[in-house]
Amino acid sequence: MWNLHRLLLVSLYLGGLGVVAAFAVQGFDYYTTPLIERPRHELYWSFKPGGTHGLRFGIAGAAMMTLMLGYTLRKRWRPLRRLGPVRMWLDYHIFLGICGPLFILLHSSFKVGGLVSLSFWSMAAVALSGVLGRYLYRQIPRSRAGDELSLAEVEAQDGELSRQLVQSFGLPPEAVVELETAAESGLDPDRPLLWLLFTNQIDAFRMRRRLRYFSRSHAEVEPRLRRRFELAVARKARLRRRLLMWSRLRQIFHYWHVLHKPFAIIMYLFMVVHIGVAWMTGYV
Amino acid sequence: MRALLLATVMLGVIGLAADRLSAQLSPGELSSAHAALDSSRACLECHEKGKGVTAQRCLSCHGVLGERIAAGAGLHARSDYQRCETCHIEHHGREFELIWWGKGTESPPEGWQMERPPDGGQSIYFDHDDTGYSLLGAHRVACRDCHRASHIEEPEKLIAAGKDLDRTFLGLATECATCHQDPHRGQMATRGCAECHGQDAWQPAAGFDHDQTAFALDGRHASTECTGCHVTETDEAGDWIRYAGTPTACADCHDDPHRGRLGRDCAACHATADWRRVDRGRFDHDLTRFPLRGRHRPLDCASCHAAGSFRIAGHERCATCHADEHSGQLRAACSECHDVDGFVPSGFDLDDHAATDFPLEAAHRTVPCADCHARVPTSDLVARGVAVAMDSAPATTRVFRLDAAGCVDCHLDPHAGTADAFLGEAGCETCHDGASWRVAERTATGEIRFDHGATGFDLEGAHRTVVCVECHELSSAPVTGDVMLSFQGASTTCWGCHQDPHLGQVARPEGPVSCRDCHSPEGWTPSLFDHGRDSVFPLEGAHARAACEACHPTETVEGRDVVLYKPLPTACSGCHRAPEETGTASGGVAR
Repeated sequence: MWNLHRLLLVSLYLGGLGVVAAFAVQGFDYYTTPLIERPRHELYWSFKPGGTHGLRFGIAGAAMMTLMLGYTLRKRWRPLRRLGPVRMWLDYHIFLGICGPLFILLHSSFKVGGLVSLSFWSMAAVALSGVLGRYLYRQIPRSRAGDELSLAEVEAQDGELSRQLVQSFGLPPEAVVELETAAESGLDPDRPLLWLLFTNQIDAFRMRRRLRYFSRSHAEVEPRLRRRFELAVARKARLRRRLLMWSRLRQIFHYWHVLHKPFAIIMYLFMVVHIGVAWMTGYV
Repeated sequence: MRALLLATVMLGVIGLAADRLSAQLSPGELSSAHAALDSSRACLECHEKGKGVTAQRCLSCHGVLGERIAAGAGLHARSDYQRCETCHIEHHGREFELIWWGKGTESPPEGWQMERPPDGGQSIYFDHDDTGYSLLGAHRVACRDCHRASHIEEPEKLIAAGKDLDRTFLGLATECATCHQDPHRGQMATRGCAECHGQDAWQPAAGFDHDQTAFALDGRHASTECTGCHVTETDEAGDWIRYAGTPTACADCHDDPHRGRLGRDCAACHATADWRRVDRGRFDHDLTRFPLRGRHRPLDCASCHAAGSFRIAGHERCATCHADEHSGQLRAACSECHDVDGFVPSGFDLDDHAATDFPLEAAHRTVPCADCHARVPTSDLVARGVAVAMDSAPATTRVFRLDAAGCVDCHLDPHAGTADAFLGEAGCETCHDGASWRVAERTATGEIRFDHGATGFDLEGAHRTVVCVECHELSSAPVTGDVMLSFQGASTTCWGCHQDPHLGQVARPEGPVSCRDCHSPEGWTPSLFDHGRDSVFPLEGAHARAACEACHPTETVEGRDVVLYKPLPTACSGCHRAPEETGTASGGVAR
């Protein structure tokens, strides 16, 4: 199922982004024409928001944005649980959250300033906050189904990994402590949110080098187990960092909705109004 | 708590943009022309629910345009111009021009087009032809050259409709006078401007054909400037040319050089190609003060009217045109001798000549004038004291004013003066009259009137009837070869003129025998000879009866027949023969 899901997701990304890219290339000259001159452009009647292509972009974008709500519905409506795990829905939600705004961007013919900026930038805020949310989502340890783990569950996983390193790979307990120290090195959960996320990402690269050094310095691990050992070391280190930031990330992630949802609501509100006005003024 | 925060954020965002919320419904600012409608509550002023922008909504404001559409007039009445919004694109800001002129200007370059949206897959461009008025030639100018407030026919109507007269394209009629002042001041009111004028330029009026007017142009009229006939007048608007009512009679424009004598129908003689070229077949010169007669009739006009002037002062005088052939010798009017049928022959006849100092008589009446009136260099006349205008006189002139009228003034004296001593006061006419020079005038008896006796040789007998040249020798003048008859040296003896028929038989030893012994001037015969007295052989008996020839035979000497007189025998036997010699009883005359 997961393979089929990945194949479908890749296909959707390729198809969706490909269509966007194709039309962006086709309409490049129009899109790069100053706004006041666009009505005189030969592609105006195709690529203007209400044009033959532009209107379709809007419909496609609006449809995608609407379908995104399926994820929200999946999380809140139990009968939908039969239709796959939340994580899979999130993948489609993210896909729609990427392609939908891009189609809307084409629909707007990149006219993102001016009077209609509020609706557009609401959508942009939703999309960008979605990217941030996706990042935060990944930083919070989850079950395979995508369900958020509790702190006790995380700590239990951490204990289990320490035990594996000692028992399965013959690593001395002090080496496990050394690994935990190296993994948490440079990470201060009390930093400002954006700085924390930035330094965490930077430290992740540094930590990867330290873990490589750590793995090589323990030659007692049998060669046949080395690959599994390295994965276990990396997983242990990542878990330790997330465990260290768990409370902060969880708190931030929960408040992230405060950022994501209002803009989403505003976006949908304006989308509905926009569609309503378009219908009322005779464009659809 | 989280829901409260969420609501706060959302309301905050909306609150921050509250003043622009209504604008979120509009895709963009309206143009300045529609700025009054730029409100979220005014969408349906232009948009119709479910139909978009409709012409009805537009025309609810643009009533003037609606009236034109209803009337089927102008661009917007066309079926492919019914969708307002396809040309007049909105929501692109205050500065956006609702009317697109290709390059965004109202003064587009040559070949401009206004782009319109694809419609049925085919591009449509604005073409001024679609308005019902094609822009041709010089009309391809900037829009505002025509579409300006001053050209609008009923501006108050547009003003009432809220139109800006400096921006609207409505209100212009297609008549020329809408934009152009009528330079003809209504003279051509019954004709459209386009009947004469093209759109490339006002002039030349290519469509105007003067031949279609009441006065077709031909000849020199065709190349004459309009203003040559049509007067320029001036009013408060400037100069204009009067065409209507232009008179068509020749005399209305041209001065009549004939001062009305030939009537008003100039075309009867003159063609428009050239005033000087007169149709002689139609021109009646007899209507002038100088009717053409005789040799004047076939002349080219230029022969008399060389300077192109048809007014010839002094035309009644021949000398006005003709040089005086006589170089002023004659005072009489030319017409007294000549007429128009030719300078020669002259009408000056013998009767006229009789009135001169030299009446022509006899042979003079038949002599050609030129024999007496010789042609001499005109300068010779001046030498003779004749007042001659040399600049107009011919090079040679016949002399008519002769200094004297004596015969020898004309005739050569054939007698070379040998008769002068015997001529009386009558001169040559002593012997000659005018009938013939060759025959000296004789008296009623046939005698010459000249007293020949004065010469020492009186004419007697037959000498009176003998013509002079029988006695006087004719000769030729040394140079001229004229016949000369000299009287000098003529012999006074008989044999000076007559031949001796006797070949000297009667000559005497002491000298020649005078012919008068036997003959008289009255005639050769009868002879005065007496055979008994004057010869040695008087005739007696039968001798007196015998014929002269019996004794004087005729013999031929040196080719001439001569009667033999001497010597003849005087004895009988000199003439007679014995009978036995003759065989007769009486004998006979010897031969």
